Amino acid sequence: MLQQETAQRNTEGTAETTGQVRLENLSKRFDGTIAVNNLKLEIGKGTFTCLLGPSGCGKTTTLRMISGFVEPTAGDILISGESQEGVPPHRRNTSIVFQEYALFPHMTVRQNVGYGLKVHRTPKDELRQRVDRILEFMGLTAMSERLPTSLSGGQQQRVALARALVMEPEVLLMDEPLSNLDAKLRVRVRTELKAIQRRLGITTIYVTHDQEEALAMSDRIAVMDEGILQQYGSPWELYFNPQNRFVADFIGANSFVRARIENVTDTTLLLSVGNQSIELQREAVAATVRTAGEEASLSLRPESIGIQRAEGGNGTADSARSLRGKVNMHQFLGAYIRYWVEVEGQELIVDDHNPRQRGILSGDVDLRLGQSEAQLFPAEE
Amino acid sequence: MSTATPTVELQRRSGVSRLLGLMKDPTVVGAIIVVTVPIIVAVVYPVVNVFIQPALEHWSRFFTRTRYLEVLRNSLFISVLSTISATVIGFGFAYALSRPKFPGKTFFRITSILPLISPPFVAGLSLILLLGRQGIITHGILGLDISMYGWHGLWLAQTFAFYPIAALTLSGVLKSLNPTLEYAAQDLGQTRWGIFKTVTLPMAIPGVASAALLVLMLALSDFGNPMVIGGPFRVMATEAYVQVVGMQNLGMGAVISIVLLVPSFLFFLIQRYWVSRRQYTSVSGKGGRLDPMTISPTVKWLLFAFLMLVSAFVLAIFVVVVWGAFARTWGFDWTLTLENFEFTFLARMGHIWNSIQYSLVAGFTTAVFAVISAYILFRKQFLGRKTFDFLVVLPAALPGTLVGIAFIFAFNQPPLVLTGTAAVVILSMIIRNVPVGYRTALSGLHQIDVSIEESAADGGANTLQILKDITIPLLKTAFTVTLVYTFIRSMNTVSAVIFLVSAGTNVATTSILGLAEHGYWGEAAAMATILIAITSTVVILFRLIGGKKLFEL
Repeated sequence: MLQQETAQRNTEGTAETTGQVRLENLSKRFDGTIAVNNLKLEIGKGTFTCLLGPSGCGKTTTLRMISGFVEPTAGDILISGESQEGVPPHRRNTSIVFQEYALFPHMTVRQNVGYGLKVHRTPKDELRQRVDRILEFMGLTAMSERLPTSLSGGQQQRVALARALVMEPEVLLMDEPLSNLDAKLRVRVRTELKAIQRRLGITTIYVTHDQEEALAMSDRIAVMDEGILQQYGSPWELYFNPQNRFVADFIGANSFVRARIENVTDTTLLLSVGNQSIELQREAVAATVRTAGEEASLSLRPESIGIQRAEGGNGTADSARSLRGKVNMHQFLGAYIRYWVEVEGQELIVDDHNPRQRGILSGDVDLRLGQSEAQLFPAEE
Repeated sequence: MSTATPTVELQRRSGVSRLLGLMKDPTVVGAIIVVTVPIIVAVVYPVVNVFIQPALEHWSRFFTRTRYLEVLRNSLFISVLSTISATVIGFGFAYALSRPKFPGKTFFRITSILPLISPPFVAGLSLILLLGRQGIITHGILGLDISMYGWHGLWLAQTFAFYPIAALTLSGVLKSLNPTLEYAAQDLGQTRWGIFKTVTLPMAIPGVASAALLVLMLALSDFGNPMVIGGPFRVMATEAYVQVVGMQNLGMGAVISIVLLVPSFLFFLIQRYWVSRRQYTSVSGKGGRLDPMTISPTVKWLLFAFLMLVSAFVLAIFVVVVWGAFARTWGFDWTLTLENFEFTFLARMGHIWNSIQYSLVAGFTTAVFAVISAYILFRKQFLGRKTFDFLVVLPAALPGTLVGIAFIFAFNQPPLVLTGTAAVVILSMIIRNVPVGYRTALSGLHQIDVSIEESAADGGANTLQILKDITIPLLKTAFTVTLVYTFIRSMNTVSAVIFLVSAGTNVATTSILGLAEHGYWGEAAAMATILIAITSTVVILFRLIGGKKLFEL
């Protein structure tokens, strides 16, 4: 069900080729450090796009360049085909929601939301109508005369969003808008946010360092690290088909196993891991290296590895599709059991999603892998 | 029910046991006494004395005689005027310094610190030399025979004396505003001027009000400038002095100082219970916060020109005082000479030496007292805690004139006869600086995590040991800042000590005022120069050893 939906959205994402926002070789340098390095990105109309990465990766700087607060060192930003070079923030058809909301503490909710319209000298009647409409849409009508400080975090968040949306921008920009909320509220608000975005069909660029948030909300995700775009794709692609080790590691849990490519045939890859060897189906492995004799790093999702009690002795697995290992530790998490299994001196994370079938395992186990969703990256030294 | 009862009992028991536990800890009880007794002796007792002193007759005379009503009107008029100009200039400085890439920041920082570390009447003294009967500009260049004596000159002098205070307060206010709000307004289409008008200024208003109130308090109780440059324009502070010292009319002096107390006490209450609750401070900066917005080039250069003008005037004030110190006879004979300094070293060195000694003792005592009282009031629960907090900061509401007169009443009679001693002078210095020291120490304590002390207590240390090993080292900054701050303020203080010094205990500031009063401008300028040299050396040394929190804009 989830898989279907994501897959569907995936195809939707790739179908959009007309970019509402285009970043052309965008760079930003701060006193010698490169915050954003030659970024190329095309963001489709009506899509929800996340800029995802660890802190300091350049995602916020990118957002600030799109909003106009930060001047790019090189490159250009195109919104609806028009260059934004030298265009100040208030002339751009973008609205930003800040991480700390930036609500004016001396104005009521209504005054906050109506601020931008007032600045643009919107006629009084129209102003009132538009503010009323957006307040109702966001469920804020009841608190329209209150001051922001008397509202909860989630409510403040909605006011900030209303203040941005009432301007009817072409592009909505959001800078980690959920990071000041507690964990439970964050999940609820992100569902709301996504629903609002869908209903309005507004092009949204959303900055976050939370990969779960990005996976849950986005049509497309641009993963960044050290100012460089690592991968741009649908959540599905990023999760199941990461293009490099950073993306594989940053999104979802992952284990990396050092391996050596022994043999490559039309249908199989033969790898050796320490003293054991394993055969994988070629189609199940997205590989950037596949020359026999090369050292490689095999990237595996915890849920893609099957686990069972070891059969037979000798310290090696019987089947060519399995690796023999030893359980170092486990955590029972209800829906699944997470194991830390040592194989040839390396530790793998394995999730068993059917705990009642096998119970909690200990000692020697056989790990079946390579059914799907494995990646082979060049070995890291 | 069964679960609720024990909880209530537990709470009650812990409240009582806390009180009992406190009584068992002799160091805490001792410390409370150490804090309380001096406050009662040096603040409550003298103030009560002032209130019971005047007869009904004094009151009725004050409110019916034109002489007093005029003085009252003068005081209010000049204070409001000076407050407005000083706050506007102070805001200009603070605003410019809070913005990135404003040219000449360091220079403007220096010119707004200079008046803070010199006696407040230096501005008045210098204006006389510049624009007085023998002034360089009026007499020397323009050949006029006019004088600056009166409210015009006083207004100028107070503006320059007090704008740095406004700048200092407002700089803290403007720095605490979240720059993101301005960006949000810009994003919604607002112009720079619009942002200033609808976002920055409204959010700064409580801070501006608070700075203005502070300046108003200082201007109202200013003694030195009206004395030097007020001439026939008499204000409350100088009138009280004339009544007490000139006419020996202590009752009338008391009445005036009480009237002077009313507004400053009101401001104190407003500050404490209203302004402090209306500050729009925001959550402290997370990484990647946006820099404050830059000012538009036109406004920037206009503001720059304005600040340059003010700074030029400030520098002129100091240059002229130093020049005056070296000129043979100001206005007539401009040859440079060391005569004025020779006079100072011969006749008035004792007064400077007194200033240094008293200020040092006051500085140390204030720092110790402030840190202990802050510690006790912040960390320990005891009955009457809020009252004591109020009492410790109360002297901030007392005009210097009132402190001076109150001390005359209180320490001129048994049980405590201190009149004419150095102790009474030093005590007045201490009292006037305790509130600032106490607040500094409190903010220092806020930075210390309670768990640090608790973990030490867990290891078996008692209160005194914890204080010695943990809290005091952590409070070192607050201690040294209070010490240096009190030293500088005491070196420059006038309004209270002028009532308290005797021939043997005269200090530099009152000595300078005496010289100025009799027209010995050169000698007065020489002494003022020495005083400024001492205080600026202390500030520079303090900065060099890494002290930062003093007078920082």
